[in-house]
Amino acid sequence: MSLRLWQRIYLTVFILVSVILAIFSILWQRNSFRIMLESEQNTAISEHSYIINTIQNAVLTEQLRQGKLTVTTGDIRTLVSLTLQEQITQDCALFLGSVIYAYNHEETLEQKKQFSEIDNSNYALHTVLDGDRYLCYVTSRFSVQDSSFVLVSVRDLSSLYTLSQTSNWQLLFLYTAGASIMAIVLFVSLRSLLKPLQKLNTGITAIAEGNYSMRLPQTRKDELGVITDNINRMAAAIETNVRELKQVADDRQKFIDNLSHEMKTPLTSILGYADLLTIVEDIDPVTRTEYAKVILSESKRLRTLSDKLMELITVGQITSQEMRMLPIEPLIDEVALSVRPMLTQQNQHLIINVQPFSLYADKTLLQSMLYNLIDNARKASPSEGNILLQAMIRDGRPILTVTDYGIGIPPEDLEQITKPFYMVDKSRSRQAGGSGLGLALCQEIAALHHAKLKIQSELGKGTEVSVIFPSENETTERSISNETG
Amino acid sequence: MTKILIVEDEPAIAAMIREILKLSDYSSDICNNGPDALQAVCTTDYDLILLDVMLPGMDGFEIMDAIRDFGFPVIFLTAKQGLEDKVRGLRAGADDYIVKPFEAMELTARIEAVLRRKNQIDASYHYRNIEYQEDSHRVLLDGKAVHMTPKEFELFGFFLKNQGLVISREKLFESIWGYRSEGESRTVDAHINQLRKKLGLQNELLTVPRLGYRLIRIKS
Repeated sequence: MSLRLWQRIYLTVFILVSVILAIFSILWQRNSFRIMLESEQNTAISEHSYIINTIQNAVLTEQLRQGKLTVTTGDIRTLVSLTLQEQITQDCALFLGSVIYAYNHEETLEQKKQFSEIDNSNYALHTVLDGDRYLCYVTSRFSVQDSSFVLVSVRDLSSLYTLSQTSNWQLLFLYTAGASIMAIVLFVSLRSLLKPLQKLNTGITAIAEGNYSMRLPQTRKDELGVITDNINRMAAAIETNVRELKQVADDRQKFIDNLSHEMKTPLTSILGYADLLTIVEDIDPVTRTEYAKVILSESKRLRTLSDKLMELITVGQITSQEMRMLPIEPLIDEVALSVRPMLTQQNQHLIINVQPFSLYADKTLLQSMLYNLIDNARKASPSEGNILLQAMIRDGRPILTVTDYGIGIPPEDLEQITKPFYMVDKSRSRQAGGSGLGLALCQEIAALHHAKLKIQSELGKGTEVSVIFPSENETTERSISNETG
Repeated sequence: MTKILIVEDEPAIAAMIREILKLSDYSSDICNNGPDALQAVCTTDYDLILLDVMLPGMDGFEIMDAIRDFGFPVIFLTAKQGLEDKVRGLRAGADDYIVKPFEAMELTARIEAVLRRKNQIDASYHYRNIEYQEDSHRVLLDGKAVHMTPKEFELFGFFLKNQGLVISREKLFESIWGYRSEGESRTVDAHINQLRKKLGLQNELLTVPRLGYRLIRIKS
């Protein structure tokens, strides 16, 4: 079983504090007991001294009374024993050598005799448990004239031990109560401290389950606040990426849908009319020619589509390694030559205005782009119309422009015009042999050259398509950032 | 006469469908967008509607939603191979769907199947002195039952439904036997001879050199 974080913190803190508290309590209790015991023992010693003083005073008084310096040993002994029995209330016993000589209480004589042996030190202390009493035996040696006595006095310390016992119980009670309160306070404060973590977790779980637009509420400035911040940034990054991926997937799906439609439409006509030609035997020559014409034109449409598709696929495979610095003039001359036959069919003219410069580009792709743009201009232009092809440098940026004075593009279509298979007027575009891929192809080629496609158009007046390449500085910057990145 | 509405934005395809329908004696109108189709449906009683899915402006599904209440049988024409569109079309209330590109006979066969299902067309055909009862699998010559094998029966039915059309041996074999094989032309020839003999069709079921066979069309 694995404990959760708050449970682990809780247990660790609780056990640690409890143990430390217990150790301190025990030490404190012991110390205070030791001090009290010492003071009791000192009292016992004082009482003991008092007994000795009393005896010695009695002897002194007797000496003064008899007026002799020495009293007989017999008298002294009698005096001592009398004094002990009459003046001393303290439980004590007097020994002469190891023989009991006098006592005032009969109890515990055996113990007193046992503790009567003493070496040369002043006092000997013995604390013993006797039945339910704690007794402190104080032993000392003293002399009266030539007699050496041993006095054993007893002081009852039971009250001290009882007191200590009581205070132990009190301490235990206090300790338990303290630990319980600490347990509750610790629990509450830990839960409230870790509550943001739980909230954080709920939010992260939601994000992990795919709710990428979810953001965690930001209320704190501490580490949790930083984590919240970072999680929000992560979710935002994921959301952006997912949206982009979805956009790519959607675009691709749309492309495939459109492609299948664009392919199947001519195929349906071809298959249908070819089928009609075979299954109808007595078909008249006019109808037969009509059917054959449809098959022919639809086949051409398929051919255009497949050509453009191949070009699009090729563009995707070109890398920047195939780009060179190309002088623009010969390149444009070649394009002009290749579009001439197409333009003469409708008596249209291509006017060229070139400012000489060189351009970092792929020759085939650039020509393909210009060809497509001129082809579009041709389709939009009336018979005998003019098409303007310009190359210039403006603000350091190379610009290629194709302008026509034809039908123009409606403003609402301008944004969509570069999307694959988008056609402003489908039937007209198809009649002119369009595939709907021309501008999409130009867009791809422009993007490969880091150029922008700018389309300006006015209905009935004409269209101007500009390809704006990055300036030399921008190109250098990009190549540097490519190398470092 | 059966009247069919063609909703298709490609003029070439619409004209082609119209020609195919003519072969089966169906008359047809053509609409190249949704609003026109709605107009046509409101003013004319059609037996069936052929509806293209991918139309500019209002797509086939939207048109389907708008005309469902009229209760006309609808066959969707779709360029998509995927199941999703087909399911969507059928769920929207269409009776069938045809994936582009399609062959003429596939179109007429589907149309006929839908019409039969909808109108409970009497499933028997008359050809001169022959009566072809599809449901009971019987062929009567001058009112007397003729014994035919199941393949001969199906083959004759196929010719009846495609009268006047030149049908190749490959097409016949594929349609009746359902697979391709090396000896298919000999098998077809043998069955055609049996048909001619059993039903006396020597002058009607003709061999078209290089192309296949044709059952002469008899105007009904």
